[in-house]
Amino acid sequence: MAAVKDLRRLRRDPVSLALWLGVPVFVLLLMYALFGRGETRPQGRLLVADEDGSFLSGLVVQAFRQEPLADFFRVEKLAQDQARQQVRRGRASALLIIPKGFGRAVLRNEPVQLTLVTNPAQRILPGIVQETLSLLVDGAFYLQAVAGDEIRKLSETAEGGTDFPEAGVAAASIEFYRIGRSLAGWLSPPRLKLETQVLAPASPARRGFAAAYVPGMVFLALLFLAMGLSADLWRERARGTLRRWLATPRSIASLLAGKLLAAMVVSFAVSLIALGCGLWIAGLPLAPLIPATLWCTFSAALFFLLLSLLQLCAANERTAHVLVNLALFPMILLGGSLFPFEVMPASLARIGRLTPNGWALTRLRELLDGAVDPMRLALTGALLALVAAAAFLLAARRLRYRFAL
Amino acid sequence: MIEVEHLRKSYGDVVAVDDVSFTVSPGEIFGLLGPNGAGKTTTIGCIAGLLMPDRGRVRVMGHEVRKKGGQARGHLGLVPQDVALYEDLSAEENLAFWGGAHGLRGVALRERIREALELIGLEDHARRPVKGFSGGMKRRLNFACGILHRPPVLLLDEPAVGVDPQSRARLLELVREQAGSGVCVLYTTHYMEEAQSLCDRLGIIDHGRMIAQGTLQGLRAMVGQRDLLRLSGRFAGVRAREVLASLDGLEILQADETQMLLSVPDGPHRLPVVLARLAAAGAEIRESTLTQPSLETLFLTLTGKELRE
Repeated sequence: MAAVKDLRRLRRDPVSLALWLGVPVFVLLLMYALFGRGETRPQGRLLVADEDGSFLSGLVVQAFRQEPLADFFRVEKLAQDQARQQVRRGRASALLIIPKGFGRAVLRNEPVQLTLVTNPAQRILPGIVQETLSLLVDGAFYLQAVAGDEIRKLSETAEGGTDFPEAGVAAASIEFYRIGRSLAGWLSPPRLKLETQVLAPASPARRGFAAAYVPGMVFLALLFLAMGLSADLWRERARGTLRRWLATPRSIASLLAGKLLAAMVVSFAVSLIALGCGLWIAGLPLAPLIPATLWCTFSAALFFLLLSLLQLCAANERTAHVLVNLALFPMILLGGSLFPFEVMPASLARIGRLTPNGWALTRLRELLDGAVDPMRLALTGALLALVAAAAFLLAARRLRYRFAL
Repeated sequence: MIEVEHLRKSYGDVVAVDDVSFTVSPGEIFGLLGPNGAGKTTTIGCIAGLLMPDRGRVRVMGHEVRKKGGQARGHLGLVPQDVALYEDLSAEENLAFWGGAHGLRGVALRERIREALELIGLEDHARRPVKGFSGGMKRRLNFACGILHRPPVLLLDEPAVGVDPQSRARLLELVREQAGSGVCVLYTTHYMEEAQSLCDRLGIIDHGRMIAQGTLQGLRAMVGQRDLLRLSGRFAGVRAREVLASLDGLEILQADETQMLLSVPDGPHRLPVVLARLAAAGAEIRESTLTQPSLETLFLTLTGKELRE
């Protein structure tokens, strides 16, 4: 009865309903527009000042244009001065300077230095360039170790350092073939056996941006909803309806239970719509939608009770407003409801996972990833029910003996 | 029936109700008359089970409120001082909610809602949200929510505050109808006229203490034939008590530099003497008002202050 009353009142307040439903959907659509549906990677700009212009320097540049590096970089060739200026202005991730004589030096196994200028504002993309160059240097070292003599002979026949005569190329080809035959016993079949084991992932190895934001956004909506619905206690108090209820044969706990039920119905609807849209936008399977929605609903019930308890502890409505905001905003910021844990510093993410919403969000992600252990879920559910029951009893007591009078 | 015995309720050091006792019988309207803050709402709160008394006993239809609160509240209808309604719901939905809170369901509830709306003259506004109602309409609906379940005991806490005269008249008529049907009514007010015209018996309460109670006639008799003489002007330096001491039966209720309030037996005849004595003592009288005995006179006589102070 009390729940029906509150649901009717909410129906008459379409602005609040639209905000609760609209905000998460709007933010998710925004995420979709910004980051796309699936896994998206940041793409950087790699500038190359190729002062050598040789076949080998071309191979180095080509290495960054191959998959999968091509997903991360847009490679552009520029003059060194111009390129340095671009990096200084933060318009590129890194600048690779290939000095004149690079190709000749590699072929003759002479020392040569590649220079990498990185953008200090970026860490990941310049790091990838650095790692790739290290691999290339290692590759050149092993090539020299295996076929150094042949390469040196070939380079000695080169005219002008880079143009090879046909006879030299043919002789080198025969030598490379011979080396290949001698290594065949090692390479085909390989002496090293690679055993591959597929393990069930504890969490998805790579998560799309939209997918990472969806659960947090749903919880953001649920927290705002819980805040709005718990503040209704002050409106009821101001109208005198709480006091009037106390004069009826029913207990105040039944009124609170009605409010809780109404909050759960609205939370279910908001979660279903927001999660449904979110999973679709993120391109994730819809199979865990109902269990995830139920989890969100019970989590929202806990948020409602905890925030109600805070509201009931305040001396007046203004203090309650300040108190609830003081609790809510750190919860939103740390608890993964605005920024996913993945983009937070590890220490803050650890703290955030301990907040009520951070804890519930971690379980929701496990549900969505299909990585949930039924026993652990049951224990988690029991813990949630226990905390919610304690909050309910405290809130009902406070309501009866202090707040409603 | 309501039975209140030696009721005491305090909030910290402030004693809101102190040793208040009274009974209200079925079909009777008992008025609790007193200024704001006198302890009327606290008394109602203790009867309705909202507040736990420090001392004393309250019984509603034989059920002690402290021990059998649920049963006692089952017999109660409360019309609070605030318009305790959900403004975003319609009149019908409000009635349904409060009727449901008192255990009404289904056909019985629908029938009572129809009757109540008819009774308060809001049948044409049943489905309109309450926020669009006038103050008088809200007050009538507030009243209907308290009587929907036909309680044998009705607690009315200043139900006509801030209501236009027409709506007030209708509300008082509704209260009389309830009493006429055998309901035991406790009505608090600080309006003297309302108490005089409505209540069968009255209790006058001030600073948490019941200073007098009885029927209207009985209370008037307590004042006797004493009139109330109100004088305004300049009384600085006038030793009123000395000047008026020799006048038999005259009592000074209030006296300051600009006003004087006297309780005078046989006022019309004694007035010239009083004025002459004061004038001779140097007082400058600009206005005098002589009032016949009333509840106000009684209140002033008993407390030394006016009801609306």
